[in-house]
Amino acid sequence: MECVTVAGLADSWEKGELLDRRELEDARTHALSCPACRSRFGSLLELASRDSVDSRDVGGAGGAGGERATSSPAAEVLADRVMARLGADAMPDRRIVRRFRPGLRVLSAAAAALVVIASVGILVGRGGVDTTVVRFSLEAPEASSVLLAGNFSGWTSDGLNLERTGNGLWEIEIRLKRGRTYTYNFLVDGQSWVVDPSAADRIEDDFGGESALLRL
Amino acid sequence: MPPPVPDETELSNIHRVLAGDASAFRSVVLKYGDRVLSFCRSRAASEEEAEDLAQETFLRAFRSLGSYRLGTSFAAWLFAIAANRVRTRWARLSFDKRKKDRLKIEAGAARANDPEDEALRNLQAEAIRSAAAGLPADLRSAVELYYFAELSVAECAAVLGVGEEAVKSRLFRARKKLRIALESSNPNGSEGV
Repeated sequence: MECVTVAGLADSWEKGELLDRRELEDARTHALSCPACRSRFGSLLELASRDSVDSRDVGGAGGAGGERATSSPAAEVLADRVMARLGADAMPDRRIVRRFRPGLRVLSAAAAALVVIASVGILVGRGGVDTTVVRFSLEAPEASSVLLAGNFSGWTSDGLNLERTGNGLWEIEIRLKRGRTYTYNFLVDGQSWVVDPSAADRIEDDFGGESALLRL
Repeated sequence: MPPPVPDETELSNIHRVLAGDASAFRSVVLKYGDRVLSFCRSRAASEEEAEDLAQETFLRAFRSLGSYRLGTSFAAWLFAIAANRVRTRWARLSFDKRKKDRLKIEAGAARANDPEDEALRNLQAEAIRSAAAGLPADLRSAVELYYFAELSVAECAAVLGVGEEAVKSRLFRARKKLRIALESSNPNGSEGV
């Protein structure tokens, strides 16, 4: 392979064109014996070699991984250590019930524009010695349903349907204990989780998203 | 295009774990172990730390398996956990410690006793990680998920909470920056073209 071909491959990779795996391998072999190409393109070819066209749904960048036929020794060691730490009797936490759907987008751009105002955690009255009634509300004029889920409900939204009150506002009042910290989100139309835009604070959840925080 | 859903074997393993057969989780770790390790290395200061992060990711995934929604991409769900573990750990470390540890890795790679090509590969891998670390945050995340974790574009989109076109756009911009960084990093020799 000529040096100019290696440079051409680098150009193609940068543009996001699909690379031929064999041609890429030839380029890497060439770079091993050509100091100039190794110097300039060695690392780039290493990165580009992670692409494979047959195992990705990529438009543009090729594909890197896909399924591995065998596990590496490092993965075997990792599996041994994870299983040792888990123990034979370990069980997944049954308290967690579909808190977040991975891949869920926090509203599409069109829908996001609808959620412009929200008020949360308004204390509307004392519900007892240790409890208080909290009103949760969200403005989502075009939504067909809005549910509330939080750690106070085990992150299930059963029974916590917000009601449309006019002007695109959805509301629900629930009784919560004082002196506690709550996390919650809204579920719009059964598919889009929305972090309350007016929440005083937010925390990261374990799924790459955020939850609104309410301290009473 | 939606993220790929687990195949029957993987689904079967997940069901077995949920039913109380913890041993079935080993297959899950074996299937994703290399990719999770590769992803964790992108932000870890050492190989030991990368393995710690990978272990934490799988332990957290095991405990939270009940929150995985069947019919969606398991990889996207798993790497969302990994991303959070990495982010949490990264935030805890001081800048000085990261820098010190990073220098230690580079020095170790440079004087590796491995055959020459393996040492070269280590240096190239370090150059790639350094180049990715120099990217703006949004581009870096896309590169780490796509190239290190080997997720599909759809899975990256799921983890990042953006559309597939946004992921492709980030990867396109990232490749331009990565090429400049990698061609100038020169861990492979002293000569230029």
